[in-house]
Amino acid sequence: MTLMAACLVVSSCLFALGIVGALLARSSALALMMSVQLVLLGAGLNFAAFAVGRDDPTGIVLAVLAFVVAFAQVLLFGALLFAVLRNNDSVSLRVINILRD
Amino acid sequence: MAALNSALFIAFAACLLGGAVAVLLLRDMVRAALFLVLAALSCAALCALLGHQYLALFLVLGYACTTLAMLGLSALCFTGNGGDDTHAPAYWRPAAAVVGLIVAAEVMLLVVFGDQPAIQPASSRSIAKLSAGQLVQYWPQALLAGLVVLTGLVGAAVIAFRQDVAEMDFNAYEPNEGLVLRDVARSGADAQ
Repeated sequence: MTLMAACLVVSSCLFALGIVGALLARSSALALMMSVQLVLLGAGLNFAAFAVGRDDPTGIVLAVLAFVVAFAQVLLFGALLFAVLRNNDSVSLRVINILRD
Repeated sequence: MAALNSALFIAFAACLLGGAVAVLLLRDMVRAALFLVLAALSCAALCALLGHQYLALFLVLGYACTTLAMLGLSALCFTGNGGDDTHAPAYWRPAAAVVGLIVAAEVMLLVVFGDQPAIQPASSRSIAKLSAGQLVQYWPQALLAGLVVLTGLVGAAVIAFRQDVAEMDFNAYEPNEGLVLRDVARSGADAQ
């Protein structure tokens, strides 16, 4: 198995773990955020692996974009959760549901 | 050298997947975040093994900046006016572990940059062979990345300093009995 194929297997596992975590995180908003982080890490690693396999720098640019989205997601989601946590005891998704229909 | 690369790849891949599983299984969210950072640093190491040292450095520095921003936000929120800081000190040890991990990863990457033969170099691939003229074709992606970062920073600052978000009492609403548009419409119809 080449390095690229092994990286694709690892990134696919990471992506699947993130999706499963996001589906199972029914109560904790932090768990949901970290699962989405795993998905974005898997996507970035996948882009980097394809950049090596196809010898194309576009994959690196897309990986950088995926990581930038991950950082922005952490900043926005973290700020929102900290703001909610200031006057509430919990960041449970069962509590923060006033926008849910 | 190939055997060393394979061993390093297996070790970092195991760290990455093990960290991801720990993130999903751990109940303590602070320790789960610690394992998330461990997984991210393992991802950076895998990128370095693929020959993308600059991507690995970007990932580590990005996580360092994000972690520091989160620490600043938490300090702002937990020690602000009316904030509950009784349980904040319990988080300092895992947070210090996160910062230590990031510093260790940066030192490791610096060692790798200083001693290129330790890991397969970028050789003729990717960014290393690009000239400045070729890099110009990626300016839309660079612009988009800059916009995303700017939006994240401004959004986080606005959310952190807005009082109405912080003062929302989510505990006042029972599940499925909150500000639900269906109920508002129904009450309006009843009034008529």
